[in-house]
Amino acid sequence: MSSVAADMAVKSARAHDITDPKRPASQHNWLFILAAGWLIVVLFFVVFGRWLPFIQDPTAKDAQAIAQSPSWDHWFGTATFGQDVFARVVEGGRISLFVGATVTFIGIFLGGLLGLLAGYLRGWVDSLVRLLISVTLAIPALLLVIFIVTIQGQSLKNVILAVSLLAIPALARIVRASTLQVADRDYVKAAQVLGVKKGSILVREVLPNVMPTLVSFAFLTFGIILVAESSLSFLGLSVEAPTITWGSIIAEGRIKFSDTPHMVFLPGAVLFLTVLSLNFVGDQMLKRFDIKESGL
Amino acid sequence: MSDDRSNMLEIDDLRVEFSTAAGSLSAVDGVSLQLAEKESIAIVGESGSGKSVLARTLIGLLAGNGTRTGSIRIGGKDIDALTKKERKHFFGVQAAMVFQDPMTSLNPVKRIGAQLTESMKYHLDLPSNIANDRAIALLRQVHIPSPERRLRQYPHELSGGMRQRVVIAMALACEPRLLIADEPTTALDVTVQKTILDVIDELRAERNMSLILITHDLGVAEGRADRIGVMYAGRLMELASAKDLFSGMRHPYTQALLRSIPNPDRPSHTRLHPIPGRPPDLLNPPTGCAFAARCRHARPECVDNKPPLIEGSAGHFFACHFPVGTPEGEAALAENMRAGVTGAGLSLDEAAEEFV
Amino acid sequence: MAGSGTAHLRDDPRVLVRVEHMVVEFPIHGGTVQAVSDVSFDLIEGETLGIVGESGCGKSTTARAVIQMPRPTSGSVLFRGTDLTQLSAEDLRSVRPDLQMIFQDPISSLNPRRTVHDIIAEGLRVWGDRGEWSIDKIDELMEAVGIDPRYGERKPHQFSGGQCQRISIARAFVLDPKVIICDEPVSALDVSVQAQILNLLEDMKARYGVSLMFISHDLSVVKNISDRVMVMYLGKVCEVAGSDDLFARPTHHYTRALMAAIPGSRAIVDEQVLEAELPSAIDPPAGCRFNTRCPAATDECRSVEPQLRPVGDGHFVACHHPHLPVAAAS
Repeated sequence: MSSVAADMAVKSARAHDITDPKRPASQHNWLFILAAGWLIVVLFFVVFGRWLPFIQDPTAKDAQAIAQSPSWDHWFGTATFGQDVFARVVEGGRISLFVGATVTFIGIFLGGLLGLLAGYLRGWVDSLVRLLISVTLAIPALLLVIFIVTIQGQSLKNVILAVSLLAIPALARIVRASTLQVADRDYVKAAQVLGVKKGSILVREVLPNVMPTLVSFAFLTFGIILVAESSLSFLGLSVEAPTITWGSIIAEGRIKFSDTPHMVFLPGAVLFLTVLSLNFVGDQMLKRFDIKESGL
Repeated sequence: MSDDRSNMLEIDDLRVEFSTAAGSLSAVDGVSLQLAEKESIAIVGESGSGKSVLARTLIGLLAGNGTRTGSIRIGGKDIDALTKKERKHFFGVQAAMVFQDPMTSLNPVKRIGAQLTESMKYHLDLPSNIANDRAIALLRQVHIPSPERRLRQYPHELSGGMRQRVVIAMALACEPRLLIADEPTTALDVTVQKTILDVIDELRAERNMSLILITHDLGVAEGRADRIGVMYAGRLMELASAKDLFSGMRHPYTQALLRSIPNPDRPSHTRLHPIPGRPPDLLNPPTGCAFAARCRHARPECVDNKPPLIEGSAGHFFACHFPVGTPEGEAALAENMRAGVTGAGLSLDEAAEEFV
Repeated sequence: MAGSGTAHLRDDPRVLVRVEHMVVEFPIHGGTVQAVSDVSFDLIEGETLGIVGESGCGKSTTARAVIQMPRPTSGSVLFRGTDLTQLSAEDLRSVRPDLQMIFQDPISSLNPRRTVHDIIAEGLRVWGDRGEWSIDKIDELMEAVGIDPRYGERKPHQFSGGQCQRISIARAFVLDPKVIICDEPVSALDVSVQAQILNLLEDMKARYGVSLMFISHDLSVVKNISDRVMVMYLGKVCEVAGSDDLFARPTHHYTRALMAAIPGSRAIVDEQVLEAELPSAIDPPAGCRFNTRCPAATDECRSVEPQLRPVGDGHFVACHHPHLPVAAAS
């Protein structure tokens, strides 16, 4: 029912050409800032961690400080051989986030391309893409990944390949749905009537209107990939030691849980907050990009 | 307006405001109205005039971010003074509503029969077989062919016109004394529109029901209502019997609205007279008359003072300082024409290129 | 009614578009449905042809099929002697600039992420300067449709519905087209704005010389803007006549019923359609398609399809028993 008021506000505002349309002051605004802030902090540590003086060597073993609880010297405590857990989380984040980013990028590029073509060209292209999506999504995801990693070996490349196989169809499906919707809009028909070529319509009219959905879902996908990679690490199926990821730190802490609960909870919290922030930012972007596109 | 005991509906200084991110939006701005038993009134206005908000407010459907002041009495009962128990059997029973889109009132996964009998069983405590018989009778009353068969159908199996008839039947199920129809035929074809309006007319006569018909179409209002109220920017601009309104309209907005509609009785390519400018910003409404900026009669006074709704002649109310067809009004228009510009700064030169 | 025939087609050198026996079918679950069946009409230079009828009558599909969106299933569409239905996709693209369109929903017909200037200039970007307009004259075109050129860098959502429709009109005129299809261009607008847009269309037409095909369900609007009006029912043509002539002497029972249903009309016509459901287009009635709702239907109407025939100067009707004034019938 409140849509009536919203409609009236929009109409009234539109009728008066508000030059900079004020965004509805969302009560989630400060949450958005917190989430975005957290992501920036995480990114900063992960990218520049190796050059930051206060971050210790993640592999340096210290017999004086084995499995210590968090302290001023070791913010996240120490591991079973005395390594600084905070440094390990920063180092592990490099791999975790690298996998997440690469897979998301591949997913957006390939999944987006497939979805865009299927939704815009329809016909046999669409049937083929839909078939591919259905088949891939029907295979139990974890089994597929385990299969690939066991057959091909536990390298970074194979982990990325395996997780990408999950991301591509998921993103392709979302982009296809969004493209179908956009391609049906009158402005796409108007471009056709003007005699604009198909490729040009796709790039100039369709893509810019699919992009916001794609970018928002990329954030959500990033989060899912982080969790997926951590699950693999936890099962010991991701990148092999000595390379560290967030999942592997948690797995290591779990072995002697009573001695090192901080090795499970603190990296777990970092992972949790990062995924939560990604979801949140993705959600908010979807809302912000949403322009009212119909007057009917 | 008279304080008659037999008034079906009494609205006194009704105001509805919505709080939005951009500020407080005044959707209904001091509407007072009485509706006698068996009487029908049409509320005419363009989008944003507040006519739909008014209708929804009357039936107790105010959006969460809206606040209402002023009193509403339906059948002599103040709706704010209803007990919880009375309220349960009030809206939908005493007063019922028909919306523009029939699918907003119909549940797509329930059979027509179940939806029709549900409210009768709930509000009137009727046993199934009697409710069923009444449902069939109702469908027959709204001229739905083979009603027994329709009861077993789902909404999507019916055409738009048939669906709207079902919705009307549903609204009538508990024999309301007041029916509020919010653009009931806007989504329908003209021939269907005519039959639906005929059905409403017929039922109103049969059941001594009062009717509020919300519409954007002056043509629909004429001939379907005893009285017509014209709304603009949340206020009633003119209120008169249908006959008086069309024979002697007083408010320049009513006149402008009528002049802007293509008349099928005039030859083709007859130049139309659009209303210049655009409706006021409801987030920041003007101090004076809301229509002043677009009005050909506007004098400086109109920009400064909001004209009250006064009874100019028996039963004919209008809110205007310089009404059409009165000496003051004609003088104001003549003066504006001479100056080529109204007291509110609107150019009267029709040929002038103007950006909208 | 609802008949076929080509008696109403004109033999005039100024004929710009000539549609003959056009059929448009859509695939539906388990078969096809004919949205337009055997419709013929023509359009003369500078003429406005109004197409009127209720939802599902195929008026919009008819007009869109002229510009091959969608392509007709059969029949021909001659534009200046070229049969558009026979053209390859690339050849068709090359005649697109001459055939433009204005849509119903003013806001959804403009790309929300492009500026108004870009939207209007898009045609010129594809085809280069053509005729009247060039990139540096876009401001002038914006002025002609009543949009302040200073707002060129704004996005569509910053304009009202009426303003968006003006932008659509500018976009349609930028390539100096010969024909513009107006598909319910004022149906989504308030009456006061509707009058602005109708006046603007008349002005633009007079100024830049273009033929319009104007589709609407609103008879008053169609009468106001059209030179000729074609009434359609269930994919067929009922009646074609000059605008004033049709409203003065409606002869088809469906046309008469439509006119009687105009709210608030003082027209003398008082004819009702029978209270039957609109028949399904998947399985249309035999003979005259209107026979199930026509008050004058006979056995002939239920078996033989009426052909369009003249009942006056430029006035054609497809009905076995048209309503003719006594003087005209004698």
